[in-house]
Amino acid sequence: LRVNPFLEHVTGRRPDEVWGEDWFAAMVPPGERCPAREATLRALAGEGGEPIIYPVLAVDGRRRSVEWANRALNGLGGEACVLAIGHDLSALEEAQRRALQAERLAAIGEMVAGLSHESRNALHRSQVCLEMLGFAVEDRPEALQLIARLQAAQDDLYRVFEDVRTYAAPIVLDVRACDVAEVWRAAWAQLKSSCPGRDDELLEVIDGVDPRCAADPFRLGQVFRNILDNALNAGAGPARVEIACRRTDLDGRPAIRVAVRDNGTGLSPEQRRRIFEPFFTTKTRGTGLGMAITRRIVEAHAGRIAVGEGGGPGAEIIVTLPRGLP
Amino acid sequence: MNSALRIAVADDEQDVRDYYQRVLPRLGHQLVAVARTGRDLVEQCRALRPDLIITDIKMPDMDGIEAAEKLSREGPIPVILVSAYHRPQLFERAKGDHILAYLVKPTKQADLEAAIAIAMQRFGQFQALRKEAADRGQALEERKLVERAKGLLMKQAALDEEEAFGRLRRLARDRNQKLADVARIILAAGEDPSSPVTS
Repeated sequence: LRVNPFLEHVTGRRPDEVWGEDWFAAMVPPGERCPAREATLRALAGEGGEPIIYPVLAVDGRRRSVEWANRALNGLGGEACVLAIGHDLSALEEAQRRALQAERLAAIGEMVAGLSHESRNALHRSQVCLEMLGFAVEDRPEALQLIARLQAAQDDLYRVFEDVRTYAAPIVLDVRACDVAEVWRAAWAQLKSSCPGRDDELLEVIDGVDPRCAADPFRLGQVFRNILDNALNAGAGPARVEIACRRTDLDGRPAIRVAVRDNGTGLSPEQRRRIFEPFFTTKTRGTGLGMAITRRIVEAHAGRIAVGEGGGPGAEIIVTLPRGLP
Repeated sequence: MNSALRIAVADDEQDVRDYYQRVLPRLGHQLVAVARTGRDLVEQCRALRPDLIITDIKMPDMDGIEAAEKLSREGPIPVILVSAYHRPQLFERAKGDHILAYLVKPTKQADLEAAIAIAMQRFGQFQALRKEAADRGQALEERKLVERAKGLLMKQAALDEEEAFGRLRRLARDRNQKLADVARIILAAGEDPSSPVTS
């Protein structure tokens, strides 16, 4: 087996690592080996010019989808060979996934907008009846206790509903010059005001980086509230959150990179992979939409959000925002 | 904080109307009208002139924004909108200065209580500003009248400015009238009335 450097680019496997190995055993995920092998044998027999799509495994365990054109090759010391030219489809499939996702969101958004009015009306009727019931049983503490529990359940329902609506609704940005440091400080202050008494700490490493960019300060506030809320609840003890800011560029344009690191238990490989997926949550309460909404907002700003690669005990979320929108 | 207010409410849901009937007296206010539609609200409020209107937006036959607009044209009245919708088009329509709060359903008693207090404070401030502007307008108007009457006297009785103004002041004092009222009489007569009055 011989490979060109492109394979390393796609999979992270170095050519000398796979040199002489069995291609299928080394590079193809188990369930895909049969059709891959058959296509190669057909090519060896000089038939079947149709390209075939099968994935290869990258070092990090992820699959890369590749389209293969196989052709029998004579030469190379008289041995029968197959030249397999691969075309990496991952980016294309990712683009398709995003398009599908956008389409699905638009459909959900339409549905939720339609539901929004009637559900709020129904929740309002429920709310006013609950309050009237409270007036009627004012002298019965155990009944009031039940009403309080009903109210909490209704508040949860309302929050879930509003989260889904926020997630699915189209994001319209009100972009202006905005000091990102001011935004995260306001988000921190707001979160801290709802959990007073804890000895949490926010450290900033700005080092003279200009923290301004063109953004929607309200939406960006949501981004930092969601990230900082996770950071504050990442561990058992008081949180120590570090925000480091530096200059970078994004697709060739000047950008600002903000890394938020906590001192919590960190993220498992599954959490790292799925943290931005809608409805993925590790909390017992909550919709699992917070980070998905966060990603939508950052991407609406033509920015990026990712989990930090570095070690360290806690989790690190990195937000990269272009200085000015295109 | 607010003394008892006479409040009119409108909502097309029976539950919500019942709620206002119970919660507003508990907050120390008097419910003077309960309407089911926008038109109903307009008709009831025309006769009653409540201190505050709390209304839903989407209702049969006339919506709350339109009803509030009709009523505010007949005299200043503070309005709180309570709606399940929150769409920019509605905010745009609700920009009249009589709309002092916009609550999105579901709301709780605390939301309503705060909105009423803030709305009434703002309305008080608006009214004070309106009165101030009106007073200034009137003062300006009166000064213009006095100037014109003075001019007339100067021309007809061949007086200088100081003498004309002195005569106006004397007239006002003698007849126990405001300077502007005397000026108005002089201008209406188109001549100097001092001779027949004083002779």
